[in-house]
Amino acid sequence: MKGIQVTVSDLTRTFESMQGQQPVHALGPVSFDIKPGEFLSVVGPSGCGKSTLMECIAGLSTPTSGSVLVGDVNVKGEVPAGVGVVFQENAVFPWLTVYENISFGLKHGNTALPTGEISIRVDEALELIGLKAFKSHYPSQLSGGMRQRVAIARTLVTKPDFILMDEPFGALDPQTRLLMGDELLKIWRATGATVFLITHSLEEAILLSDRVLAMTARPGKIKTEIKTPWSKDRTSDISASPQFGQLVSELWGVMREESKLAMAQSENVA
Amino acid sequence: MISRVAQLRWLVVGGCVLTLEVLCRTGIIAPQVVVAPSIMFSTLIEMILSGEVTTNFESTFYSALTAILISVMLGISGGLLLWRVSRLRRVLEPVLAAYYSVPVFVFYPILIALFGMNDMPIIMIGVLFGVVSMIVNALNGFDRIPLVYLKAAQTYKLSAWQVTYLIRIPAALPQMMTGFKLTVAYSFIGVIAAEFILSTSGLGYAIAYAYNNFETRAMYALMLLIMIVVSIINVCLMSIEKKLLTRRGVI
Repeated sequence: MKGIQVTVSDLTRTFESMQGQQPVHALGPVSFDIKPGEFLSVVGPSGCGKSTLMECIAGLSTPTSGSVLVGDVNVKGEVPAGVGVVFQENAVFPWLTVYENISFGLKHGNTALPTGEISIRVDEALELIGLKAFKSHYPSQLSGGMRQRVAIARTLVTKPDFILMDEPFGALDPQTRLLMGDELLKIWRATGATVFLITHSLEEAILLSDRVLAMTARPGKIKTEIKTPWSKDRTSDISASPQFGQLVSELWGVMREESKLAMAQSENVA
Repeated sequence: MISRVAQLRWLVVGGCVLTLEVLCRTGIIAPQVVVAPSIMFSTLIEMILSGEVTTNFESTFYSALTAILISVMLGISGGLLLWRVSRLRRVLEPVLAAYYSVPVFVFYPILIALFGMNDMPIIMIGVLFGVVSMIVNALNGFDRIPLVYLKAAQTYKLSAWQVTYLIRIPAALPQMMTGFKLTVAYSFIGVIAAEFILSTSGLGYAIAYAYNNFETRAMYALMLLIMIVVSIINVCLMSIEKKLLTRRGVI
């Protein structure tokens, strides 16, 4: 399996609001590429339109202007084949067990597989997220972090060529976060998938990505791009290197002003 | 272990039954008016053993079950339709909200004219009583589905039909269960009430028949039977609902 090239050109998104109010210009214009097999992270202050950006790229939301190319598919309000999404909110289906949740995409829809292969893949995924003993449990019986691991496994198990993740580790404790980050890197290396990751954590962005895009406060535009120097075989061990600390503080230097601006914006709304 | 409150509740019920028993046995309440609970119960056992309730029981059960089934199917599809067509919903929602303030039972002559003197008008009254609570609660359930489930569904490219039965209906199930409980209760009420006046079989008919023939014991025994059956059904539904809600993490 090969990662897909993604091209975002002049993308903007404006939300209509209630009568008498100004429409909200949430995003853009933004333009960037993701190379096949690249791991790209986006960081930005709250409310800068990161999730909107992800939804436009995934085809879950239609951009107001501009275009998104995933491979050679022009994304227009429909999720292209080979695209997997991990959501920020709890998107695990509460009426299905862990096993049924993870196998959902393999049973139904365009990613369906023959029955024999499903259990092999799901067992692999359960092993990976360390929830083998919980396969017959319902999501309500799991902690928030475990649920999010199930959501990640549910997406990865379909072996997407392009994985979009919106703050996937937000609900996890810092240690699990690091471990899951390492797992994600492993999967990324093994599948060669293109990854688009939204995160609040600057450390996580630097640690995991080939390249980090920093966004401005609303309307979100790309402020800076930071390339990381590490090879594909990196693990969370690099967080001990001086270069790592340097890059994180460089990123924070860029982000500080925008975060302040975003805070002021949210006060104005309130 | 039952909790103290539950113990107290049983004590209250038991106390009432016992008081009634004493009042009847001492002749303070005349046996022509109310028979003692113990007599109700023994008469019921006799009637069950002799098989004289069997046909009536089956007929009521058949009518109620059919009414419930139709109500559920109409209710879920009606709920889906209203949820999809928001204009229709805006038109009908006030009507649905006011529905149970209308004594739909008065329409029974129309139903007889339409369907004739058979099970059909009885089942239809059961449906008229039961269907709206199913519609309203299904609608409510569909409203509350978190958007993220539907977004996740979009990434799997499910067909509209698959989204309905794989996502929407299971996601709305807890609310639909609330509607279902009411539908069961209302359908039974509708069916039994209809049997009182427009049937020649069924428990409702048997009670009316016993009443008209001064068979007070049989009448009370049949009432007791209905109470017992409906209570059992309710307890079952409540335990299913509790299981469902626990599984969902709602309680």
